[in-house]
Amino acid sequence: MRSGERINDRYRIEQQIGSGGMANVYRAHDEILNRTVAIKVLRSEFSHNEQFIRRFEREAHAATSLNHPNIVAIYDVGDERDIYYIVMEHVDGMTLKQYLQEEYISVDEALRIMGQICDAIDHAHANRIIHRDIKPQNMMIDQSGNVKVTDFGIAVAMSNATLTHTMSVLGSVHYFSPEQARGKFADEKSDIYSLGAVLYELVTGRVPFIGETPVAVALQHLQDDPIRPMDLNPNIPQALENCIMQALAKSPGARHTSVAAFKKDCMTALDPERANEPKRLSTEQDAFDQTLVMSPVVPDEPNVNETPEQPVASSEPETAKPKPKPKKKKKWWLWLILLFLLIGGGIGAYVIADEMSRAVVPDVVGMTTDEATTELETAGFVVEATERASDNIAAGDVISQTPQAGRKPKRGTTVTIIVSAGKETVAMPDVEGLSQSAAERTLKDLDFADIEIQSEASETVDSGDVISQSIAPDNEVVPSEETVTLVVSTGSNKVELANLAGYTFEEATTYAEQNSLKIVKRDEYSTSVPANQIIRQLPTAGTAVDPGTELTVIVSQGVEPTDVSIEREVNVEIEPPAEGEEPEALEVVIRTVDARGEVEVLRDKITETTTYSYTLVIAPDEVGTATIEVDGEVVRTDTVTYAQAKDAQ
Amino acid sequence: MELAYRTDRGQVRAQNEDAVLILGDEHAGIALVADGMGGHEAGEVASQLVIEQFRRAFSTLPASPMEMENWFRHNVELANEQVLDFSKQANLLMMGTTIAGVCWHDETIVIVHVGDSRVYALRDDKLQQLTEDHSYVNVLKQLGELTEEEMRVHPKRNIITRSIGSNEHVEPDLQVFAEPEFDTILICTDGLTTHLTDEEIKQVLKRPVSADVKADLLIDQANRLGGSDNITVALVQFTDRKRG
Repeated sequence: MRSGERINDRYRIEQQIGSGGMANVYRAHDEILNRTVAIKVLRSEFSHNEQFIRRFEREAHAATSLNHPNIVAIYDVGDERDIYYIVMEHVDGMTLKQYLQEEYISVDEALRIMGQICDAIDHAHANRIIHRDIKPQNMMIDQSGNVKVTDFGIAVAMSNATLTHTMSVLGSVHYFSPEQARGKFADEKSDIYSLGAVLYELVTGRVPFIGETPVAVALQHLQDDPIRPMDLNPNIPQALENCIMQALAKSPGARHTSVAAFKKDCMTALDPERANEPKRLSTEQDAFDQTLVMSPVVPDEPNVNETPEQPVASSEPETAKPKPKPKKKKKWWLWLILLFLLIGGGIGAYVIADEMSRAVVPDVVGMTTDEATTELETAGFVVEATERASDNIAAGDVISQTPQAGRKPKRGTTVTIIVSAGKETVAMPDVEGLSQSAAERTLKDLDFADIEIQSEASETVDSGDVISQSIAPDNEVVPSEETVTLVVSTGSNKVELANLAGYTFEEATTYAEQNSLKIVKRDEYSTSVPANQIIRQLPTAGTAVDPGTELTVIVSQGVEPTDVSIEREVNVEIEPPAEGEEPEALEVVIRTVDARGEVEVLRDKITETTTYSYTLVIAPDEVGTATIEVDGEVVRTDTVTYAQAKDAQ
Repeated sequence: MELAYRTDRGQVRAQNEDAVLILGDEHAGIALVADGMGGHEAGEVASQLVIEQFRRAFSTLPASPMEMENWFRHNVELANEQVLDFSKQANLLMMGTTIAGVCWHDETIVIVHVGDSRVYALRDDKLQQLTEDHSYVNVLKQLGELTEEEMRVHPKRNIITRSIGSNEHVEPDLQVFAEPEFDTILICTDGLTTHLTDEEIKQVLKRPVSADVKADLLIDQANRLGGSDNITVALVQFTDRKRG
């Protein structure tokens, strides 16, 4: 399909977003409901097979009944001109498989994801729908970390026997159950097995079985035990390993009874009360331990009328005895005769001889390796020691043993003791740049208990992320003995300056106080801004500044006042001279001190009374003063204030 | 010697993706079937490419047992290259084919197979399957995980583990028989063996009729039992040997 093409005149194809053995997946736009959807379009090689199409449609329709936040909703199923398609909710995210390749997943995170997957499968089971193809490729994780399971029931349609044979489409053998490998019908228990396989991968980072070919992997599901999760990731608690191994039991009957039970088992695995849980022996292993009890052994004769759905393994523990190979089935009676010989003829002697060849395993837990070895070898056992780090058991002391004390295996049996290697050191992880919670989770997973957090502003590290750690990455440390200090960014604490223009100076002062800025006032006259309001500011609005920065506000002083001139008059009186006397000439000097400075405005000689006028130019809030001297003597001082001059105007 | 072959679409499939070839006489010859797979025309093309490769190669069929074995191996490899080239050019996913066949030269018979097409031999009223299917279910059966019956109903019984056209190299299984004294050799695709048991096949092959009639009978029976897949058979009947 090309982008722009329409299906059913309704869905406009935008882009191919995935392809698989059976179908291609496209992002498309639903033009009626105006929303983005995902459309799965069957490959054309399947669209001519009627039986396949019928099953495909039936299963797809069944899945439309599922309505759950952790299940990708199916909106529509249809066909148009031999194009068969399913319209689904479009999840903006990636598959869990892709997510696992990109993200480090802690045990906590794994359980968070698993819980959601379990809810989805549990809901489906309640609606009598078995998924049958649970795998990380069928889970979507959206942007907020929600998990959604998709492709319910499609596996049934796919396994239609009349399909043309193919070489590559054995399906995702990494997660399928032994009974599916055998071709039995998958049921709820098969889904539980697959959930166990997915959880195994979530916490260990690898699938339970790795093989060169799908067939090799399928065989391992049937025959081999997976590597114990704790051997791959020491952070996994025993309780969780127990849960995973039970789900991965070969025999469906030995698995959890329901998805809910499985979910409860894994979600409580981190509870403190389960911290000291011992390794759980599966019912399969129990049966193995009890082979001494010669239960009536009936060979798995294939023609016995078993219901075909009943896996062969459930009637008898698989490991209890070599299953007669069908190829050799003509000789199964030979086995039977052999067994009858053992049970009937020789049972008494067998039991006695057997009893003598056995010995009780002594309890060596807590002893030093040497003591334990001597003790066990004296009792007739072979000792094999493996080391494991331990926080509370001194280096060299025995942590545990298998078989356990009190059991009576044959002499010469190997007893495995696990010896403490002392406290476990780990390479300090690099958590710089992680979010605080992710960093703490990472550290707690490694058993760092003492984590201190300091806050600091940072321009380069986002708020909430770790700026630095007190122990450099890759240093080998014992987590329980260290205090790790993480410096966490409070983000940038710069203040982006508001526009203060129009604020009163008092308001601006409050603003500055609230934002820890130092306010500096500068006055200026303004013809447009009323007095006491802010005209402008430095730095300008929008500038990001550190706390303590000076914020200069220019405050209006109102309209700029101007100098005022005032005309003043002074009358210098001269007494007239006596009769016949010559008038005496007197010298008059007038000086002004005003906005223009000190100026001598007049010097004159007079013999009679004279009136002088002079001008005072007075600057705002200043005074102007004139002094009038006559013959060197001040006869008058004339002081005019700015206000008086203004009033006189 | 009598030679006969039939290929039939069956009752369910829209196309016949099988192909068959018989060339030669009692002195030297080849008989092959191929069961193609992949959508569109891919299956048909794949099986035809293999058959045509052997049609061209027939003139170079050697005489010594070891050379006959190498001749088969070499031509299977060439066929593999052609199918791979074609699927790459046409961008066809999952294109491929099985092959099963024999070549004979005087008293020597060499058997080849890749996938789940089979070669059977009837000798003194005993039918023997000479090839081990390269299939998922057969691997499980060989390891004792499945019985014959479980194998017949396994939902993934159509999965094959080797085919021509799926990998850069293909490893055919080859067997050389010197003077095997077979009465009849049957080469067939799984469209026959899906429906007919070995016993039912044997009953047909034992009948005192011509190879042509036997081929018709086999196809008819498979179709009557469902004909769920294409059905192809090739028969090589060593009549003179029986007489001698």
